[in-house]
Formats: sequence, structure tokens, C-alpha cells
Amino acid sequence: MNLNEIQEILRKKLHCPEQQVKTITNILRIVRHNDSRAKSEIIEIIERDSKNATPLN
Amino acid sequence: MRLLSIKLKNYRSYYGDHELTIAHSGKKNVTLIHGAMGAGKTKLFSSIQWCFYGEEEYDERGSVNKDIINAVALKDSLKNKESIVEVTVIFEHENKKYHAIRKFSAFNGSAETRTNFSLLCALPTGDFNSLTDPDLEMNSILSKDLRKYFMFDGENIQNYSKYGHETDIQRAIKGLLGFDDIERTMDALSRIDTQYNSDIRKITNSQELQAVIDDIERIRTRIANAEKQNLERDVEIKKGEALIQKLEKEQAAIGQVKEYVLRQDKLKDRLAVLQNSRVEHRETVGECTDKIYLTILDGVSKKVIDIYHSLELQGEIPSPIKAEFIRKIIDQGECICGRGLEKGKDNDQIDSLLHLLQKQNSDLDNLVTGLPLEAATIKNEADVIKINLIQKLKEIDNVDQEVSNVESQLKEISEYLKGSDVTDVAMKEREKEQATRLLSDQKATKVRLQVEVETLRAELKDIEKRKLKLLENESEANDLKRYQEYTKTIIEMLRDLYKIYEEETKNKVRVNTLEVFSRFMWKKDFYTEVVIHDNYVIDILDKNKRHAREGLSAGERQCFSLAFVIALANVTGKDAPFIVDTPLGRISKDPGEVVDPRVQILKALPELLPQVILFVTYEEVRPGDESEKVIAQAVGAEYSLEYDSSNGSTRIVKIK
Repeated sequence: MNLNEIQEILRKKLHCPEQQVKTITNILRIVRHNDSRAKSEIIEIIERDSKNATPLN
Repeated sequence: MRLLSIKLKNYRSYYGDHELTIAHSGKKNVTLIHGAMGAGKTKLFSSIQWCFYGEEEYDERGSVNKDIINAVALKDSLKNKESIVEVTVIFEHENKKYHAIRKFSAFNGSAETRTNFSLLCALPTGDFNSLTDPDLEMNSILSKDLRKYFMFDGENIQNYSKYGHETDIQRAIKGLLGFDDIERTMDALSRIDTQYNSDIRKITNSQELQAVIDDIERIRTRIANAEKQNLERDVEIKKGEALIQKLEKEQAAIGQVKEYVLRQDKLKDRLAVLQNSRVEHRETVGECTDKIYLTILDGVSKKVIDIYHSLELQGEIPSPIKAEFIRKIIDQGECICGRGLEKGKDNDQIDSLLHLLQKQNSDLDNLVTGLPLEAATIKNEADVIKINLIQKLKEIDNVDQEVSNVESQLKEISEYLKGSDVTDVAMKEREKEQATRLLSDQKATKVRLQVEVETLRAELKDIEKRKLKLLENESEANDLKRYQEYTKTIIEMLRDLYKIYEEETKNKVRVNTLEVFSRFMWKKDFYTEVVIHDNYVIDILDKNKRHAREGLSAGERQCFSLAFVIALANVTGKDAPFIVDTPLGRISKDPGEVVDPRVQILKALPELLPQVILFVTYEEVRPGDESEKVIAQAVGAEYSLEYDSSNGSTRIVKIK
């Protein structure tokens, strides 16, 4: 999986906010390693990034 | 990832220490390893995978170390000596140099059951750092599941272009291009979302909110179950479609068999007619030959007539005329000179005349006189016989030719019918009807499940809204609310991303497959498009937009599969070596082909891939042949494997 391509689709085709692009890229990177620590690391990312995310309606 | 060298110690047929340097520079990126059948090519090929993943290519039962250790080395270990089996692969990856080492020992004829794997990474100082989780690191460099698209047996890859291997194609594309990662990410996020629900349920005192959360989880479980069943239906539908296609093929084959049987019956009838007619013609010929003497007589009588006419021309008076003349003299009693002849007076002359008359062989003369007429009759009869005979012989010849033609057709049909399934078409039709009914039931169930999933999703959406409203009153759950909302947003985004990424990737794979395939094939303009359908059936269209996959020859199919694998490697952007055992095993030049596809492939591979390692037989790349010449410029390292039957070991001989 090419993360640069993924980011390009998120930005250009899905007009995804930069914060979410970063979150998705980071989570995909962790899952790709198939690490047993993945779940806790993903939760950490979600909880950290959700604070900086654009407020949701 | 670029392989730099491979070191073997007591691995399989490689007794002692062996080392190969692998070509890895830009223009010299091919390593050619020649070996006759059984020389040790596959063992060397497998050693790379064994080193990286602890698994060999072909041992379905799972290799045990006792089999992997060289037999001589195992014997050595009996002499109170430790024998070590070790494979080291040195490679570069993302500008870092690695040493992958897998080894085990044997002592007193007994091999260790476990292997030891270490992955050392070079530090800028030149020292090596042993990585703490080498298997995980190795997997992230080139995963175990995906290695088969870079390291494979050339003879086994043609499955990709065969019907019924859509799952393999789907797995290849999804696995190699990272769809699995997106799917796993969505799954992980869904589980996290569920956990947030559970956390919220724990801290809230609102029974209504608790009930709503329980409902959400219940609906989610139902959706998951329905989706699981849906996937099972997909498998069943695929099986059903394959069964129907198989039955249709069998039906077509039976239909053809029936046609042949009908033709066989007709030909047998015709053969009987021809054989009867041959007997009749032969009888007629027999009759004609019985009268063949007439044709000889015809010649004889002609000769007699000729003599008769020649005597006539010479003035010879035919004896019947002479007899007539004498009889007239005797009857009229007067000679032609006018002198009379009287009985009693001229008795001596009359007796002399009577004597002369007796001397005329009147019968023979009569016969000779009648000969022209007789000869004409004989000639007519002889002519008829001749014509009949020629005609009948011609007819016999024609009948013989037709009999031989019919017999050869019957022989062909009987060959075709030998071992053909002549089961009733009707039975197959019933089986097909049953399979079609089952398939249609499965499809209906799938539709029902899809509707159910959609309804449940809509229900879930509504209930999620209710949950949000209820959550507004739960100030303690503020953080959890935010986390959960963000999780959902990310899941939705990933779902959209998946669709676009899948479409774009499939498109790249099909365009790239066609490009590579065109490099391999001499009929460049004949195939114009590669198609990957929604269900991952891969097909190729010819210039008339007809589906041509089924019509590909075995060689073309292998080229097509090879093109697909190379396209996958290109599209994925993974910088991995392309290691192929017997890459051209099934490819040969068909009589109708202008260019040898083996030559085309060998020419194209170094240009298409960053690093190529080929394990070839002398049949595939013949020394001095065009196949060797086209790849020679790109070969940076070349070895020959020589098997020594006296000790069952392989020697690696460096050629270049």
C-alpha cells in the first residue's frame, strides 16, 4: 500500500481535513505492521487527534 | 529490497560453505543460475525463503530440520562434532544493509528442532545491530504472505489466468496492494467504537441510554452476522457458477459425442453399402474376364480377314467361288469355253471336276468368307467387354478409395469416443437445472441479506442519533463522545477511501498487465485490453473486443499470468527482487509464432524489474542460443549448479 497515494486520494478526492489525513496515515502505518500493540496505539492516536479535530456537527 | 549475496552452509544438498554474489546494479540486474533437473536449483531457491521466513517453498508437510541438514553434515555430527546449518542472505532495504541469518545445529546425529533467526541491521559506524523482533521486521520489509508474488515457481503461476482462480487474484491484488490493511484498520476502529460504547454504558446512569447502547450493539452484531452470511453466499454463488459452467462444458462435450455417434452410425451404413457394391462390381469384373478371350479373338479374326483380303487383292479366287464354278460346269454340262460335257462320254472329266470340287475345303472357306461379319460381331462384343471392364475397375477403385476414407473417419471417431463420457444429456440438464435453482436461491438470499444489512444500517443510524441526543445530557461522557465521533468519521472516510483506492488500483493493474503482456507477445496489436471485473475475474479482450482468455494457448496463458504478477509488483511499488524458479518451463515456441516468447520474456524482464534472479534449466536458456544472447547484457552474475552423485552434494560454479 502506497501511503502517499492514500494521502493524495484523501486530500484531493475526498477533501479530507489535514488532521484526519494524518490520523488515517498513522493508523494505517501501525496496522500494516500487524503489531499486537496496535489497538492501544490506535486509541492513543484517536484520543489525541480528536482534540485537535475540527468540531463535529 | 535488493539481495546482495547468499551464503549457505550444510543446507540440503549444499555440503560445507557456499557463497553467491547477486547482481544488483541498474543495468546488470540479472543473476542467472543454471542447473540440470535435480542439480539443486529449487533447493537454492527455497533457501532464501527458509532464511527469511523459516519455511520452504514446496514442503507442504512442513520441513523438519533433520531433512534440511545435509546428509554428510549429519553424519559428521556423529563424530562428536557439531554440524551447523546456516543460510545468510545479505540485502539492502531503504538504504540500510541487513544480514538475515537462520541456523540450527546438529550433534550426535540429532538435529535441533527449532531454528534461530536473527536480523542484523548495519549502523552508520559499520557495526551491526541485532533487531529485537526479527520476524516482525522481516515481515514489514517483505511480508510472508506476499513473498509468493516475488518468489515463485514459474510453472505454477498460470493459474492466475484460469477460470475459478478469482479468489487468488483478489487475494493477490488486495494483499499486495494493501487493501487488507484498510480492511483491518476499519475492523480495529469498529472494535474501538464498540469499546467506547461499553465505556459510556458503564459511566451513565440513564437507563434509556444504556438500553439504546445495548440496541446499537445488538444491531451491530446482526449486521456483522448478515455480512458474514453474505460472504458465505458469495462463496456458494461462486461454487454454483463454477458447477453450472462445468455442467455446460460436459453437456457440450456429450452433445458432441452424440453427434459423433450419429455420424459413426451413418458411416457404418455407408461402409456396408460400399462393401456390397464392391462385391457386385467384382462379380461383373469376373464375368467380363470370363469372356476376355473375345478380345484376343478380335485380334486373331482381324488378322485372318487381313490375309483374306490380301489374297483377294493378289487375284486368288476364294474356294467357294471355285466350287460354285465347278458345280455350275457339272450341272450345266458346259465349260466356260463352250465345250459341252456329257455324262457317259466325258465321265473322266466330270470325275476329275468332282474330285476338284471335293478338294475345296468348303467349310473352312465358308468360315473364312463369313469372317468379316463374324469379326465385326466379335469386335462389338469385345468392345463392350472392354468398356465394361474398364468402367467396373474404375468403380471398384472409387469404391476402394471411399471405403478407405470411411474407415479412416470411423477410426478417428472411435479414437475420440474411446473414454468419452456418454452419459445422457438429459441427466446433465437435470443436474444443471438443480444447480441453477440452488444458485438462484443463493442469489435471492444474498439480495435479502443485503436488504437486511441496509435496513439495519438505517436503523443503526437512527438509533445512533437518539444516542447522541441522550449523550448531550451526559457531561461525564464528553471525552468519550468526542473520541467515538472521531472514530466514526475516520471509519466513514476509510470506507470511501477503500472504494476509490480499489478502483484506481485495479485500473493500474490492468493497464500495466496489458503493457507487460504486449512486451512478451509478438501479436502486439491483437490483444487490446485487460479487464478486471468486479468479482476479480481477469480477462483479456482482442481487437474485436472479444473475450480471449479461454482461447489463450498454454504458453500465452503463462505469459499472461507472468505479466499479471509483474504488473502487481510494479503497481505495488515494492522494491523487491523477482526470484523465479524455472520461469519459462511451460513456454515454448509454437509453430505459428513468428517470435519465440521465451526470447521476448528474457529480453523484457531486466527492463521491467529492478532485480531479477532466475533459476533456469539448460532447456530454458540454452548456451549460445538466442535466449542466452538477449539476456547476456543484463547478466551481472552467473552460476552453474553441478551435482556430484558420489556424495549427493551440489557445487556452485561461478561462470561470471
